Amino acid sequence: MPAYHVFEMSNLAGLLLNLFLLGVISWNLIMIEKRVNQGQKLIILSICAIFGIAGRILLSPIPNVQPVTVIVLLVGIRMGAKESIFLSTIIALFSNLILGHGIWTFYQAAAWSIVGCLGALFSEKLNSLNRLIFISILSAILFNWIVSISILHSVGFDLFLPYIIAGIPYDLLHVAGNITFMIWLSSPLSEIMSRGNISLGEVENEQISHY
Amino acid sequence: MTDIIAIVMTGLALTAFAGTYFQSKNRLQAISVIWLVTLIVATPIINSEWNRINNLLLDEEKSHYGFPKEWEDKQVMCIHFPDDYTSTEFNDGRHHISSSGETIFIDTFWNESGVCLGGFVEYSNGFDFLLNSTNILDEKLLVNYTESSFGPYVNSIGGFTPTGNSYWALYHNGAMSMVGIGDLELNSNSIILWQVDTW
Repeated sequence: MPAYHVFEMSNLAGLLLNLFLLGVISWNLIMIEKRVNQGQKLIILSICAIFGIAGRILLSPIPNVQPVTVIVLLVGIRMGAKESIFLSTIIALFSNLILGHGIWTFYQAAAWSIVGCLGALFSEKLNSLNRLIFISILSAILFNWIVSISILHSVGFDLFLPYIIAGIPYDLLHVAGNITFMIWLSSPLSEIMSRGNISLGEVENEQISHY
Repeated sequence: MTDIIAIVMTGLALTAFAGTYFQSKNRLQAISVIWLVTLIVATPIINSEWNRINNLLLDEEKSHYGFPKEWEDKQVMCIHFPDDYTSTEFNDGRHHISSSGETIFIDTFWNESGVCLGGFVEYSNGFDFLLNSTNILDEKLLVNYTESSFGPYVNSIGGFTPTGNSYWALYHNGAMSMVGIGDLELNSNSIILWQVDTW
């Protein structure tokens, strides 16, 4: 089986990639900022980012078991596509500062973004734990296959299918990890995120009504 | 194979315990963790078995039958230990190890237990190939030999020294070699097999 992470970038390609990642983060940050009338949403996104980065780095000894896919998916469902793209790129970039940065960072950010957008697209339908678990299984496989595309930079297309097939035990690990994280995280994270969607006016009214 | 059965049985037992001990949401959380840990523990076995299924050359017509597909048309060095010898490292089947020292898969269904090192292309002399390939595994597969007027004579491989009328017999491409390992000329796809025979 070909090893992961073997593609070496030239300095220029690396710089362009970093600029691209930075661009995605800044652009989405601005887009979110425009539509938020208070800071709470960003605080929640920051908490999710810190949790995702820390979770990914800390769980890195176990291949493919990490909370990021589920966090990004839940953010896509509860908050929106832009938020999930922002979060995916931040988490991919910052966790890879420790785990190793390269062309795969782009594929990981792209794959998590697609997972988040998928969540945002079907957010209306994903209203029970069973459905959330189902989409977390799909996201695991989708993520792994999208990231696998990065090996085409170092090997020919004829090795792509054997590579995907050889990786199926690792896909299973991601699926099992996602199911577990979805069961554990779906209600606390959904609860935090739905708090972030309350507008400033509502919060003030709520506080007033308490007095 | 018995390892994976033990792991799955432990998972089932813990599930049964968690199923009675915890209620509703907590039960689901506990069971999901139990099965995640079970899968993580079982992954090395699943992965090795998956590689075997995917990578095994199943065409019995081919000379490299039973080896990983990537070794086709390359040089392979196999050591089969006798049935009554319990090797500390290689008693659970035939280990297939790449030229960089990584275990590709362990074939627990193969008739003999032992080691095959394969994927080499560069050797032309049998003795160089024996020493350099077994050296990949360091002392796990140590070769002891004595120099004689007929060339080197192999006394022990991987801690097994044949006694009485048994000896380490050398096979080249499935046939008993007419010359010693020191004089053996290799092809680009030679298969060397060491097994214990008696005279």
